[in-house]
Amino acid sequence: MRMHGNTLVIGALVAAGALGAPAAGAQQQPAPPPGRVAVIVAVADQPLFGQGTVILRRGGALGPSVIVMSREAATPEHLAAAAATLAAILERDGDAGAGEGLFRIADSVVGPAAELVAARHALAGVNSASIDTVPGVGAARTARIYLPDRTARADLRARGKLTLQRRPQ
Amino acid sequence: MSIHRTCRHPVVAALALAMAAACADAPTRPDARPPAADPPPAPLVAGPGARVLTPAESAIHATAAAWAAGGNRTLQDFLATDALWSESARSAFAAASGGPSAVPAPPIPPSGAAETGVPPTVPITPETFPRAYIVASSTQAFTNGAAGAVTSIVTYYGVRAHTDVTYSSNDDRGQVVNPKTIVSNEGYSEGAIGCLSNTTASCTFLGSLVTPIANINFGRSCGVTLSASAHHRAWFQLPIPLVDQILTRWHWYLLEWGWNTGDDQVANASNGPCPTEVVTQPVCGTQLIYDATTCDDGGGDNPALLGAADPQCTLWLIQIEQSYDGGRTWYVVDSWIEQRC
Repeated sequence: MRMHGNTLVIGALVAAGALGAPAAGAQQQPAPPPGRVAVIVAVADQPLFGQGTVILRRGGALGPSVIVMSREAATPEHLAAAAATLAAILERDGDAGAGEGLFRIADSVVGPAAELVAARHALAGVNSASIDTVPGVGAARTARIYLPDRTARADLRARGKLTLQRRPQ
Repeated sequence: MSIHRTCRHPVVAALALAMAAACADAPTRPDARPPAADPPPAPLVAGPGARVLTPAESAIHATAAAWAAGGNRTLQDFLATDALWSESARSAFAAASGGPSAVPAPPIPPSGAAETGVPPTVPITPETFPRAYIVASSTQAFTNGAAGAVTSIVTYYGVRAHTDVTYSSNDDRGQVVNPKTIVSNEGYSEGAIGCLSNTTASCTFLGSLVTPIANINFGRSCGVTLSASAHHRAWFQLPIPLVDQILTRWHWYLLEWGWNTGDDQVANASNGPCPTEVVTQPVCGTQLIYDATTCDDGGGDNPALLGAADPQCTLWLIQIEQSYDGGRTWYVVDSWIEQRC
Protein backbone atom coordinates (compact mmCIF):
# COMPACT_ATOMS: atom_id res chain seq x y z
CA MET A 1 0.00 0.00 0.00
CA ARG A 2 1.28 3.41 -0.86
CA MET A 3 0.43 6.55 1.02
CA HIS A 4 1.61 9.88 -0.19
CA GLY A 5 2.65 13.01 1.59
CA ASN A 6 1.93 13.42 5.27
CA THR A 7 -1.61 12.11 5.14
CA LEU A 8 -0.74 8.80 6.66
CA VAL A 9 -3.50 7.87 9.03
CA ILE A 10 -6.86 8.69 7.59
CA GLY A 11 -5.53 9.77 4.23
CA ALA A 12 -6.22 6.29 3.05
CA LEU A 13 -9.91 6.98 2.97
CA VAL A 14 -9.48 9.32 0.05
CA ALA A 15 -7.63 6.74 -1.95
CA ALA A 16 -10.14 4.14 -1.00
CA GLY A 17 -13.07 6.28 -2.05
CA ALA A 18 -15.00 4.85 0.81
CA LEU A 19 -17.22 7.81 1.56
CA GLY A 20 -20.89 7.07 1.52
CA ALA A 21 -20.36 3.38 2.20
CA PRO A 22 -23.26 1.30 3.57
CA ALA A 23 -24.41 2.12 7.05
CA ALA A 24 -22.83 0.55 10.07
CA GLY A 25 -25.90 -1.49 10.80
CA ALA A 26 -26.22 -2.92 7.32
CA GLN A 27 -25.96 -6.68 6.97
CA GLN A 28 -23.54 -6.63 4.07
CA GLN A 29 -20.34 -4.90 5.02
CA PRO A 30 -17.68 -4.39 2.37
CA ALA A 31 -14.39 -6.00 3.17
CA PRO A 32 -11.69 -3.43 3.84
CA PRO A 33 -8.98 -3.07 1.23
CA PRO A 34 -5.78 -4.95 1.95
CA GLY A 35 -3.68 -3.23 4.57
CA ARG A 36 -6.52 -1.25 6.05
CA VAL A 37 -8.86 -1.35 9.01
CA ALA A 38 -12.39 -0.10 8.43
CA VAL A 39 -13.78 2.52 10.77
CA ILE A 40 -17.23 4.07 10.79
CA VAL A 41 -17.56 7.81 11.29
CA ALA A 42 -20.97 8.71 12.63
CA VAL A 43 -22.34 12.19 13.21
CA ALA A 44 -25.32 12.25 15.56
CA ASP A 45 -27.55 15.09 16.61
CA GLN A 46 -26.71 14.70 20.29
CA PRO A 47 -23.45 13.99 22.14
CA LEU A 48 -22.94 10.34 23.05
CA PHE A 49 -21.99 9.66 26.70
CA GLY A 50 -21.92 13.42 27.17
CA GLN A 51 -18.87 13.78 24.93
CA GLY A 52 -18.49 15.58 21.65
CA THR A 53 -16.30 12.86 20.19
CA VAL A 54 -16.01 9.27 21.40
CA ILE A 55 -14.58 6.09 19.98
CA LEU A 56 -16.58 2.89 20.36
CA ARG A 57 -13.90 0.25 20.06
CA ARG A 58 -15.31 -2.81 18.39
CA GLY A 59 -14.16 -5.59 16.17
CA GLY A 60 -14.96 -9.06 14.93
CA ALA A 61 -18.66 -9.86 14.93
CA LEU A 62 -19.44 -6.51 16.52
CA GLY A 63 -18.41 -4.74 13.35
CA PRO A 64 -15.96 -1.92 12.83
CA SER A 65 -15.04 0.59 15.49
CA VAL A 66 -17.11 3.75 15.39
CA ILE A 67 -15.99 7.34 15.82
CA VAL A 68 -19.11 9.11 17.06
CA MET A 69 -19.25 12.89 16.86
CA SER A 70 -21.99 15.26 17.83
CA ARG A 71 -23.04 17.75 15.23
CA GLU A 72 -21.27 20.53 17.10
CA ALA A 73 -18.08 18.53 17.54
CA ALA A 74 -17.91 17.24 13.98
CA THR A 75 -14.89 19.19 12.84
CA PRO A 76 -11.90 18.00 10.81
CA GLU A 77 -9.67 18.75 13.79
CA HIS A 78 -11.63 16.43 16.07
CA LEU A 79 -11.91 13.70 13.48
CA ALA A 80 -8.18 13.86 12.83
CA ALA A 81 -7.52 13.60 16.56
CA ALA A 82 -9.90 10.66 16.87
CA ALA A 83 -8.25 8.87 13.96
CA ALA A 84 -4.79 9.38 15.44
CA THR A 85 -5.96 8.11 18.82
CA LEU A 86 -7.64 5.09 17.30
CA ALA A 87 -4.45 4.35 15.37
CA ALA A 88 -2.57 4.26 18.67
CA ILE A 89 -5.25 2.01 20.16
CA LEU A 90 -4.90 -0.36 17.21
CA GLU A 91 -1.16 -0.42 17.72
CA ARG A 92 -1.64 -1.16 21.41
CA ASP A 93 -4.44 -3.72 21.33
CA GLY A 94 -4.12 -5.12 17.83
CA ASP A 95 -6.33 -4.53 14.84
CA ALA A 96 -8.83 -7.19 15.91
CA GLY A 97 -9.27 -5.52 19.28
CA ALA A 98 -9.18 -6.80 22.82
CA GLY A 99 -12.89 -6.38 23.41
CA GLU A 100 -15.20 -3.44 23.50
CA GLY A 101 -14.02 -0.14 24.86
CA LEU A 102 -15.17 3.44 25.20
CA PHE A 103 -12.68 6.23 24.57
CA ARG A 104 -13.09 9.95 24.26
CA ILE A 105 -11.48 12.84 22.48
CA ALA A 106 -11.62 15.95 24.62
CA ASP A 107 -13.26 18.93 22.95
CA SER A 108 -10.04 20.94 23.20
CA VAL A 109 -8.02 18.41 21.27
CA VAL A 110 -7.11 18.98 17.65
CA GLY A 111 -5.56 16.41 15.37
CA PRO A 112 -2.51 16.46 13.11
CA ALA A 113 -2.64 19.23 10.53
CA ALA A 114 -1.60 16.74 7.88
CA GLU A 115 -4.90 14.91 8.34
CA LEU A 116 -7.18 17.89 8.14
CA VAL A 117 -7.77 17.78 4.41
CA ALA A 118 -8.70 14.14 4.45
CA ALA A 119 -10.79 14.64 7.56
CA ARG A 120 -12.62 17.50 5.88
CA HIS A 121 -13.42 15.28 2.92
CA ALA A 122 -14.60 12.53 5.19
CA LEU A 123 -16.97 14.82 7.04
CA ALA A 124 -18.29 16.12 3.76
CA GLY A 125 -19.15 12.56 2.88
CA VAL A 126 -20.84 12.06 6.23
CA ASN A 127 -22.94 15.17 5.87
CA SER A 128 -24.19 14.09 2.48
CA ALA A 129 -25.09 10.58 3.62
CA SER A 130 -28.55 9.47 4.57
CA ILE A 131 -29.49 8.87 8.18
CA ASP A 132 -28.95 5.30 9.36
CA THR A 133 -29.21 3.46 12.63
CA VAL A 134 -25.85 2.66 14.16
CA PRO A 135 -25.88 -0.05 16.86
CA GLY A 136 -25.15 1.49 20.22
CA VAL A 137 -25.45 5.00 18.83
CA GLY A 138 -28.84 5.43 17.26
CA ALA A 139 -29.70 7.57 14.27
CA ALA A 140 -26.69 9.16 12.62
CA ARG A 141 -25.18 9.99 9.29
CA THR A 142 -22.24 7.73 8.58
CA ALA A 143 -19.30 7.18 6.32
CA ARG A 144 -16.55 4.62 6.23
CA ILE A 145 -12.89 5.48 6.50
CA TYR A 146 -9.83 3.31 6.71
CA LEU A 147 -6.79 3.31 8.95
CA PRO A 148 -3.53 1.50 8.21
CA ASP A 149 -3.50 -2.00 9.63
CA ARG A 150 -0.58 -3.68 11.36
CA THR A 151 1.11 -4.55 8.08
CA ALA A 152 0.68 -1.08 6.68
CA ARG A 153 1.95 0.50 9.88
CA ALA A 154 5.01 -1.72 9.74
CA ASP A 155 5.55 -0.63 6.16
CA LEU A 156 5.28 3.03 7.14
CA ARG A 157 7.65 2.41 10.01
CA ALA A 158 10.13 0.68 7.73
CA ARG A 159 10.08 3.62 5.37
CA GLY A 160 10.54 6.08 8.24
CA LYS A 161 7.22 7.75 7.60
CA LEU A 162 5.25 6.96 10.72
CA THR A 163 6.01 5.36 14.03
CA LEU A 164 3.78 4.74 17.00
CA GLN A 165 5.39 3.78 20.23
CA ARG A 166 4.33 3.76 23.85
CA ARG A 167 5.50 6.82 25.67
CA PRO A 168 8.27 6.07 28.15
CA GLN A 169 7.09 6.49 31.71
CA MET B 1 -17.64 -30.96 69.06
CA SER B 2 -18.25 -33.59 66.47
CA ILE B 3 -19.55 -32.42 63.17
CA HIS B 4 -21.12 -35.74 62.30
CA ARG B 5 -23.20 -36.16 65.35
CA THR B 6 -25.50 -39.14 65.17
CA CYS B 7 -29.03 -38.98 66.43
CA ARG B 8 -29.06 -41.59 69.13
CA HIS B 9 -31.35 -39.49 71.27
CA PRO B 10 -34.92 -40.75 71.08
CA VAL B 11 -36.26 -37.41 70.02
CA VAL B 12 -34.08 -37.48 66.97
CA ALA B 13 -35.52 -40.74 65.81
CA ALA B 14 -38.96 -39.39 66.44
CA LEU B 15 -38.14 -36.32 64.47
CA ALA B 16 -36.96 -38.37 61.59
CA LEU B 17 -40.18 -40.26 61.51
CA ALA B 18 -42.26 -37.17 61.84
CA MET B 19 -40.21 -35.54 59.16
CA ALA B 20 -40.94 -38.49 56.96
CA ALA B 21 -44.60 -37.78 57.25
CA ALA B 22 -44.04 -34.16 56.46
CA CYS B 23 -41.51 -34.30 53.73
CA ALA B 24 -41.62 -37.57 51.93
CA ASP B 25 -43.60 -36.19 49.05
CA ALA B 26 -41.65 -32.97 48.63
CA PRO B 27 -38.45 -33.03 50.62
CA THR B 28 -36.79 -30.17 48.79
CA ARG B 29 -39.67 -27.75 48.82
CA PRO B 30 -38.28 -24.31 49.75
CA ASP B 31 -41.29 -23.48 51.85
CA ALA B 32 -41.16 -25.66 54.89
CA ARG B 33 -44.86 -25.81 55.45
CA PRO B 34 -46.67 -28.39 53.40
CA PRO B 35 -49.89 -27.19 51.84
CA ALA B 36 -52.93 -27.46 54.03
CA ALA B 37 -54.53 -29.95 51.71
CA ASP B 38 -51.61 -32.39 51.80
CA PRO B 39 -52.70 -35.40 53.82
CA PRO B 40 -50.34 -37.07 56.26
CA PRO B 41 -50.03 -40.84 56.20
CA ALA B 42 -53.53 -42.21 56.36
CA PRO B 43 -54.45 -43.65 59.76
CA LEU B 44 -55.02 -47.36 59.67
CA VAL B 45 -58.47 -48.00 61.08
CA ALA B 46 -58.94 -51.59 62.16
CA GLY B 47 -62.48 -51.15 63.46
CA PRO B 48 -64.70 -48.90 65.53
CA GLY B 49 -62.72 -47.44 68.37
CA ALA B 50 -59.51 -49.16 67.36
CA ARG B 51 -56.71 -47.88 65.29
CA VAL B 52 -53.29 -49.15 64.26
CA LEU B 53 -50.54 -46.61 64.78
CA THR B 54 -48.18 -45.83 61.98
CA PRO B 55 -44.50 -46.56 62.66
CA ALA B 56 -43.87 -42.85 62.99
CA GLU B 57 -46.63 -42.47 65.53
CA SER B 58 -45.37 -45.44 67.49
CA ALA B 59 -41.91 -43.97 67.62
CA ILE B 60 -43.24 -40.64 68.80
CA HIS B 61 -45.19 -42.32 71.59
CA ALA B 62 -42.18 -44.41 72.55
CA THR B 63 -40.07 -41.31 72.72
CA ALA B 64 -42.66 -39.52 74.81
CA ALA B 65 -42.79 -42.44 77.23
CA ALA B 66 -39.04 -42.56 77.50
CA TRP B 67 -38.88 -38.86 78.23
CA ALA B 68 -41.65 -39.10 80.81
CA ALA B 69 -39.82 -41.90 82.58
CA GLY B 70 -36.92 -39.52 82.85
CA GLY B 71 -39.09 -36.77 84.27
CA ASN B 72 -39.65 -34.75 81.11
CA ARG B 73 -43.33 -34.86 80.21
CA THR B 74 -43.18 -32.24 77.50
CA LEU B 75 -43.85 -34.51 74.60
CA GLN B 76 -46.18 -36.86 76.42
CA ASP B 77 -48.38 -34.03 77.61
CA PHE B 78 -48.56 -32.69 74.15
CA LEU B 79 -49.54 -36.03 72.67
CA ALA B 80 -52.08 -36.68 75.39
CA THR B 81 -53.95 -33.46 74.90
CA ASP B 82 -53.59 -32.89 71.22
CA ALA B 83 -56.69 -33.55 69.21
CA LEU B 84 -55.03 -35.93 66.84
CA TRP B 85 -52.51 -37.58 69.12
CA SER B 86 -54.64 -38.23 72.19
CA GLU B 87 -56.23 -41.66 72.47
CA SER B 88 -59.59 -40.17 73.34
CA ALA B 89 -59.48 -38.07 70.25
CA ARG B 90 -58.51 -41.09 68.22
CA SER B 91 -61.48 -43.03 69.50
CA ALA B 92 -63.80 -40.19 68.75
CA PHE B 93 -62.24 -39.79 65.40
CA ALA B 94 -62.61 -43.44 64.57
CA ALA B 95 -66.16 -43.59 65.83
CA ALA B 96 -67.32 -40.54 64.02
CA SER B 97 -68.50 -41.30 60.56
CA GLY B 98 -68.70 -37.71 59.43
CA GLY B 99 -65.28 -36.52 60.52
CA PRO B 100 -63.27 -35.62 63.59
CA SER B 101 -65.05 -34.54 66.73
CA ALA B 102 -62.12 -33.32 68.73
CA VAL B 103 -61.03 -29.70 68.76
CA PRO B 104 -57.67 -29.35 67.09
CA ALA B 105 -54.91 -27.54 68.88
CA PRO B 106 -53.81 -24.25 67.48
CA PRO B 107 -50.38 -23.95 66.00
CA ILE B 108 -47.55 -23.53 68.43
CA PRO B 109 -45.66 -20.33 67.74
CA PRO B 110 -41.95 -20.44 67.03
CA SER B 111 -41.19 -18.97 70.39
CA GLY B 112 -42.21 -22.25 71.91
CA ALA B 113 -44.92 -20.67 74.00
CA ALA B 114 -48.23 -22.41 73.65
CA GLU B 115 -51.36 -20.54 72.84
CA THR B 116 -54.44 -20.60 75.00
CA GLY B 117 -54.42 -23.62 77.21
CA VAL B 118 -52.77 -26.05 74.88
CA PRO B 119 -49.57 -28.00 75.20
CA PRO B 120 -46.75 -28.06 75.60
CA THR B 121 -47.13 -27.28 79.27
CA VAL B 122 -43.43 -27.48 79.82
CA PRO B 123 -41.41 -24.65 78.32
CA ILE B 124 -39.35 -25.70 75.37
CA THR B 125 -35.77 -25.07 76.31
CA PRO B 126 -32.42 -26.44 75.27
CA GLU B 127 -32.61 -28.62 78.34
CA THR B 128 -35.77 -30.34 77.22
CA PHE B 129 -35.10 -30.44 73.51
CA PRO B 130 -31.87 -30.62 71.55
CA ARG B 131 -30.54 -27.30 70.45
CA ALA B 132 -29.47 -26.54 66.90
CA TYR B 133 -26.20 -24.81 66.26
CA ILE B 134 -24.05 -23.49 63.46
CA VAL B 135 -21.17 -25.85 62.75
CA ALA B 136 -19.36 -23.68 60.22
CA SER B 137 -20.15 -20.90 57.83
CA SER B 138 -18.47 -18.82 55.18
CA THR B 139 -19.44 -15.89 53.00
CA GLN B 140 -17.21 -14.79 50.15
CA ALA B 141 -17.40 -12.06 47.53
CA PHE B 142 -16.03 -12.34 44.01
CA THR B 143 -15.51 -9.91 41.14
CA ASN B 144 -14.91 -10.44 37.47
CA GLY B 145 -14.68 -7.25 35.49
CA ALA B 146 -17.94 -5.36 35.76
CA ALA B 147 -19.77 -8.24 37.46
CA GLY B 148 -19.73 -9.60 40.98
CA ALA B 149 -20.98 -12.60 42.89
CA VAL B 150 -21.43 -13.73 46.47
CA THR B 151 -21.54 -17.24 47.85
CA SER B 152 -22.59 -18.02 51.39
CA ILE B 153 -22.42 -21.50 52.88
CA VAL B 154 -23.56 -22.60 56.32
CA THR B 155 -23.25 -26.04 57.83
CA TYR B 156 -25.54 -26.62 60.76
CA TYR B 157 -26.84 -29.18 63.18
CA GLY B 158 -30.59 -29.09 63.09
CA VAL B 159 -33.51 -29.64 60.81
CA ARG B 160 -33.82 -26.25 59.22
CA ALA B 161 -31.64 -23.25 58.45
CA HIS B 162 -32.14 -19.73 57.19
CA THR B 163 -29.52 -17.40 55.71
CA ASP B 164 -29.71 -13.66 55.15
CA VAL B 165 -26.90 -12.43 52.90
CA THR B 166 -26.27 -8.70 52.84
CA TYR B 167 -24.19 -7.17 50.09
CA SER B 168 -23.39 -3.76 48.65
CA SER B 169 -20.65 -2.11 46.61
CA ASN B 170 -18.93 1.24 46.47
CA ASP B 171 -16.56 2.81 44.02
CA ASP B 172 -13.11 4.16 44.79
CA ARG B 173 -14.60 7.56 45.60
CA GLY B 174 -16.95 6.14 48.17
CA GLN B 175 -20.02 6.44 46.00
CA VAL B 176 -22.60 3.69 46.19
CA VAL B 177 -22.60 1.46 43.13
CA ASN B 178 -24.96 -1.25 44.38
CA PRO B 179 -27.11 -0.29 47.37
CA LYS B 180 -27.44 -2.55 50.37
CA THR B 181 -29.39 -5.63 49.40
CA ILE B 182 -30.49 -8.61 51.49
CA VAL B 183 -31.03 -11.99 49.90
CA SER B 184 -32.67 -14.69 52.01
CA ASN B 185 -32.60 -18.43 51.62
CA GLU B 186 -33.98 -21.33 53.65
CA GLY B 187 -33.74 -25.09 53.50
CA TYR B 188 -33.96 -28.46 55.21
CA SER B 189 -30.96 -30.34 56.43
CA GLU B 190 -30.03 -33.07 54.05
CA GLY B 191 -29.19 -35.18 57.04
CA ALA B 192 -32.74 -35.02 58.28
CA ILE B 193 -34.14 -35.79 54.88
CA GLY B 194 -31.74 -38.67 54.61
CA CYS B 195 -33.34 -40.21 57.67
CA LEU B 196 -36.71 -40.37 56.02
CA SER B 197 -36.13 -43.43 53.91
CA ASN B 198 -34.41 -45.51 56.52
CA THR B 199 -35.44 -44.98 60.08
CA THR B 200 -32.96 -47.51 61.39
CA ALA B 201 -29.97 -45.69 60.01
CA SER B 202 -28.13 -43.19 62.10
CA CYS B 203 -29.16 -39.63 61.36
CA THR B 204 -26.65 -36.85 61.39
CA PHE B 205 -29.05 -33.94 61.17
CA LEU B 206 -26.15 -32.14 59.64
CA GLY B 207 -27.34 -29.73 56.98
CA SER B 208 -25.66 -27.46 54.50
CA LEU B 209 -27.37 -24.45 53.01
CA VAL B 210 -25.74 -22.69 50.05
CA THR B 211 -26.87 -19.23 49.00
CA PRO B 212 -25.36 -18.11 45.70
CA ILE B 213 -25.87 -14.61 44.35
CA ALA B 214 -24.70 -14.10 40.80
CA ASN B 215 -24.62 -11.34 38.21
CA ILE B 216 -24.22 -8.34 40.46
CA ASN B 217 -23.74 -5.64 37.86
CA PHE B 218 -21.30 -2.87 38.74
CA GLY B 219 -21.60 -0.99 35.46
CA ARG B 220 -17.86 -0.46 35.50
CA SER B 221 -14.88 -2.77 35.41
CA CYS B 222 -12.53 -1.06 37.84
CA GLY B 223 -12.48 0.68 41.18
CA VAL B 224 -15.44 -1.17 42.70
CA THR B 225 -15.35 -2.98 46.03
CA LEU B 226 -18.04 -5.54 46.72
CA SER B 227 -18.81 -6.24 50.37
CA ALA B 228 -20.87 -9.14 51.68
CA SER B 229 -21.80 -10.59 55.05
CA ALA B 230 -24.36 -13.08 56.28
CA HIS B 231 -26.49 -14.00 59.26
CA HIS B 232 -27.46 -17.63 59.68
CA ARG B 233 -30.08 -19.34 61.84
CA ALA B 234 -30.61 -23.02 62.47
CA TRP B 235 -33.32 -24.79 64.42
CA PHE B 236 -35.27 -27.97 64.91
CA GLN B 237 -38.74 -28.48 63.61
CA LEU B 238 -41.39 -31.12 64.21
CA PRO B 239 -44.43 -31.12 61.96
CA ILE B 240 -47.57 -32.02 63.91
CA PRO B 241 -50.52 -33.24 61.86
CA LEU B 242 -53.88 -31.95 63.06
CA VAL B 243 -57.41 -31.96 61.80
CA ASP B 244 -59.45 -28.92 61.10
CA GLN B 245 -62.74 -29.43 62.93
CA ILE B 246 -64.89 -27.55 60.51
CA LEU B 247 -63.25 -28.20 57.23
CA THR B 248 -62.25 -31.74 58.17
CA ARG B 249 -58.95 -31.22 56.41
CA TRP B 250 -55.50 -32.09 57.53
CA HIS B 251 -53.23 -29.31 58.69
CA TRP B 252 -49.65 -29.23 59.70
CA TYR B 253 -48.58 -27.33 62.74
CA LEU B 254 -44.90 -26.84 63.17
CA LEU B 255 -43.31 -27.33 66.55
CA GLU B 256 -40.06 -25.42 66.38
CA TRP B 257 -37.33 -24.97 68.94
CA GLY B 258 -33.62 -24.79 69.56
CA TRP B 259 -32.75 -21.72 67.53
CA ASN B 260 -29.14 -20.76 67.22
CA THR B 261 -27.39 -18.21 65.08
CA GLY B 262 -24.06 -17.44 63.49
CA ASP B 263 -22.64 -14.48 61.61
CA ASP B 264 -20.12 -14.14 58.81
CA GLN B 265 -18.13 -10.95 59.01
CA VAL B 266 -17.89 -8.65 56.00
CA ALA B 267 -15.86 -10.04 53.13
CA ASN B 268 -14.61 -7.69 50.42
CA ALA B 269 -13.59 -8.16 46.81
CA SER B 270 -12.35 -5.50 44.39
CA ASN B 271 -12.25 -5.50 40.63
CA GLY B 272 -8.98 -3.65 40.75
CA PRO B 273 -7.84 -0.06 40.84
CA CYS B 274 -8.63 2.29 38.00
CA PRO B 275 -5.89 4.05 36.07
CA THR B 276 -5.07 7.66 36.81
CA GLU B 277 -8.25 9.65 36.61
CA VAL B 278 -8.43 12.62 34.32
CA VAL B 279 -8.64 15.53 36.71
CA THR B 280 -7.55 18.44 34.58
CA GLN B 281 -6.77 18.89 30.98
CA PRO B 282 -3.13 19.34 30.00
CA VAL B 283 -1.78 22.84 30.05
CA CYS B 284 -1.89 22.97 26.30
CA GLY B 285 -5.52 22.09 26.34
CA THR B 286 -4.89 19.32 23.90
CA GLN B 287 -4.10 15.66 24.13
CA LEU B 288 -2.06 15.76 20.94
CA ILE B 289 1.17 17.67 21.22
CA TYR B 290 2.42 18.21 17.73
CA ASP B 291 5.26 20.50 18.61
CA ALA B 292 6.89 19.63 21.88
CA THR B 293 9.11 22.70 21.70
CA THR B 294 6.26 25.14 21.74
CA CYS B 295 3.66 23.30 23.71
CA ASP B 296 4.12 21.52 27.00
CA ASP B 297 1.42 19.46 28.56
CA GLY B 298 3.21 19.43 31.88
CA GLY B 299 3.60 15.71 31.70
CA GLY B 300 7.33 15.76 31.06
CA ASP B 301 8.07 14.62 27.57
CA ASN B 302 11.01 12.35 27.12
CA PRO B 303 13.97 14.63 26.28
CA ALA B 304 16.00 11.82 24.87
CA LEU B 305 13.28 10.80 22.51
CA LEU B 306 12.51 14.33 21.46
CA GLY B 307 16.18 15.23 21.10
CA ALA B 308 16.81 12.26 18.91
CA ALA B 309 13.96 13.07 16.62
CA ASP B 310 14.61 14.22 13.11
CA PRO B 311 14.04 18.00 12.91
CA GLN B 312 11.93 17.32 9.85
CA CYS B 313 9.68 15.07 11.84
CA THR B 314 6.73 16.02 13.95
CA LEU B 315 6.00 14.43 17.28
CA TRP B 316 2.57 14.00 18.75
CA LEU B 317 1.63 12.85 22.18
CA ILE B 318 -1.51 10.80 22.22
CA GLN B 319 -3.17 10.28 25.55
CA ILE B 320 -5.74 7.54 25.43
CA GLU B 321 -8.66 8.34 27.68
CA GLN B 322 -11.03 5.51 28.46
CA SER B 323 -14.19 5.09 30.51
CA TYR B 324 -15.31 1.89 32.20
CA ASP B 325 -18.61 3.18 33.49
CA GLY B 326 -20.43 4.44 30.46
CA GLY B 327 -18.80 7.83 30.35
CA ARG B 328 -19.26 8.92 33.95
CA THR B 329 -15.55 8.82 34.69
CA TRP B 330 -12.61 9.05 32.34
CA TYR B 331 -9.10 7.80 32.88
CA VAL B 332 -5.81 8.26 31.06
CA VAL B 333 -5.00 4.62 30.41
CA ASP B 334 -2.04 4.99 28.09
CA SER B 335 0.21 7.49 26.35
CA TRP B 336 1.69 7.02 22.92
CA ILE B 337 4.01 9.05 20.77
CA GLU B 338 3.37 9.38 17.09
CA GLN B 339 6.17 10.54 14.88
CA ARG B 340 5.65 11.69 11.32
CA CYS B 341 8.46 12.45 8.95
